[in-house]
Amino acid sequence: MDPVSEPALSELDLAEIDEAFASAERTMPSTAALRQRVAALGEPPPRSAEAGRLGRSPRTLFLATAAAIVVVAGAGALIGLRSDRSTPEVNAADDEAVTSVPATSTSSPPASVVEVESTETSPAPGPEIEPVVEPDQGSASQPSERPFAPSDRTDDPNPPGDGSQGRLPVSVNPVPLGFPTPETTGLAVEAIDVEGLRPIDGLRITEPTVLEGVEVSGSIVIASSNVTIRNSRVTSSGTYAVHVEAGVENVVIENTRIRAVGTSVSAALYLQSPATVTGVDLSGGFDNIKATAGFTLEASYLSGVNRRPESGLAGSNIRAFQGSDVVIRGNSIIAPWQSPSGNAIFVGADSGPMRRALVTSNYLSGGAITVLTGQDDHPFEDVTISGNRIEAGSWSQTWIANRAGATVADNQQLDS
Amino acid sequence: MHQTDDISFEDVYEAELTHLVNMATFILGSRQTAEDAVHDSFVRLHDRWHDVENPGAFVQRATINRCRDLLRNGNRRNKHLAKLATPDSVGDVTDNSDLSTDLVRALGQLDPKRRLIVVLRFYGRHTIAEIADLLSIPTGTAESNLYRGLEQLRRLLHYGSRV
Repeated sequence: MDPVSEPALSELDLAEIDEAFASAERTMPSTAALRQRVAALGEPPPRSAEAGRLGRSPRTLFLATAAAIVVVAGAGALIGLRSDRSTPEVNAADDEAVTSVPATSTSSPPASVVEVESTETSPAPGPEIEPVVEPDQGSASQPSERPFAPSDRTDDPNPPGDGSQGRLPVSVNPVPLGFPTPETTGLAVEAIDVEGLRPIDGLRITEPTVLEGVEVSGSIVIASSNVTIRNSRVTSSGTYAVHVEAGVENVVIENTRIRAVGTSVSAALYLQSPATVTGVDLSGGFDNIKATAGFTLEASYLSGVNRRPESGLAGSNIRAFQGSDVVIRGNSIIAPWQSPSGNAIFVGADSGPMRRALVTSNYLSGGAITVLTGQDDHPFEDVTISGNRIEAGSWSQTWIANRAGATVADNQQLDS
Repeated sequence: MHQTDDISFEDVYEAELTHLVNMATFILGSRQTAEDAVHDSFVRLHDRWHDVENPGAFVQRATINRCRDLLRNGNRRNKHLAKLATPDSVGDVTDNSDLSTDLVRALGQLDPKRRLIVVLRFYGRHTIAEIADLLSIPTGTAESNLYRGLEQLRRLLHYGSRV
């Protein structure tokens, strides 16, 4: 230590504090798990001939990085580059801006909502019957690259949306005991016999309805309040398998299997109004669930996110862009294993305020960042991410990136 | 000649990782958050390996700045840190069951800026001048914060949360 600069505390005091640190250090947990995470990065590529500008003074670092950002941003603008990783932002309030931005974070969800919205069209208004779509049973029975299921499963736990190229590998590990699986969600909740389902085409619901015990081949558009879908199966290649339009309320979807199949499906479930979703087995789409309103999702199993054909990037299982009173609790949400893009859960204030959101007690796996929060000039308030179990090493960047200021606590990495 | 000509990435994390995680843990009060901060820093080092002159210094500075960011937004982002102020709640942070030492509890009651400086001084073994440089603050500010932090820490270690 430097005695000249030391404040006027007695040597005894300083020795005591010194010893307190030494003693506390001896009680620190092992760093073996983190060492493995860092080791997994591998050795970096060789140095370039012009290397060596970093690791100097903070001022030098700042200037070097700022220059690099300008160059990269300029080049990107010129050639129209898009990258899943964000361009680092210079923190004007911090001279050490070079290290003020987490290396593994992204500034927004990998795929822009604006882009999604601009390339999709909602189902046409008015009475609608979607073409009957046969379930893609042939592809669904093919093994995945990283098979997930115990051999006795009768239904693929991670069914593909488009059957082949869009399919992404999922965890090699089974869902931990107590969390939802395909065997405990959908029709299995009340042991509904598939043979007993009444086949119908896709439909637009315009008045209070209980839709129960049906096999729907096509999309469902819910344009009325007080609608319940229960103990049913929905298979669709439409833009959305189930679309809850804006301006409705009291929508319930429970104990239902929803499969979005095909290469152009935006989301298996699109929520523009609040809904309560329970016991659902849901897969397919670039996103499983896209939401611009509050919703409650409980005891459900989400999987099978597809790649976007134009970019090859994966979407997310849940993308909640705005809303109030979001509850995501007690679900199993399986994103692609170590995917270069996408999240199991994205909660953000991208297109409007996000208020009172709770993500808790879920089993989560995969994605570039398994749980990501984001904000874009809208209020982001009272958001909590706690008590979740996240499969260790299932992500490609990091497990939680809290860019919007949620309360994050008590989440655990779960070793297989 | 750059240091990266002679050493491997593995050399750096073998040499720095444990120390940085412990330091970040003292600063942040959460082992989990500390590990993520250090991981982020090593990812950053990995990404910039070919440009880094002194990898050890780079990753250390990256970790400190990541901790600063987290502390700076502490009220919003890390409300659980406030729990450190009460001994019984230390274990509430999932992976902190091994961190319930008097020191961690006492550090949790310090003003974040003072806590950071105290940790850098005593655990990081940095001089006042180095701390001032690392944090881009005047030497006098570093010194006064260290003094007040140490005084408060000493009282906390002696008398617990009653001070």
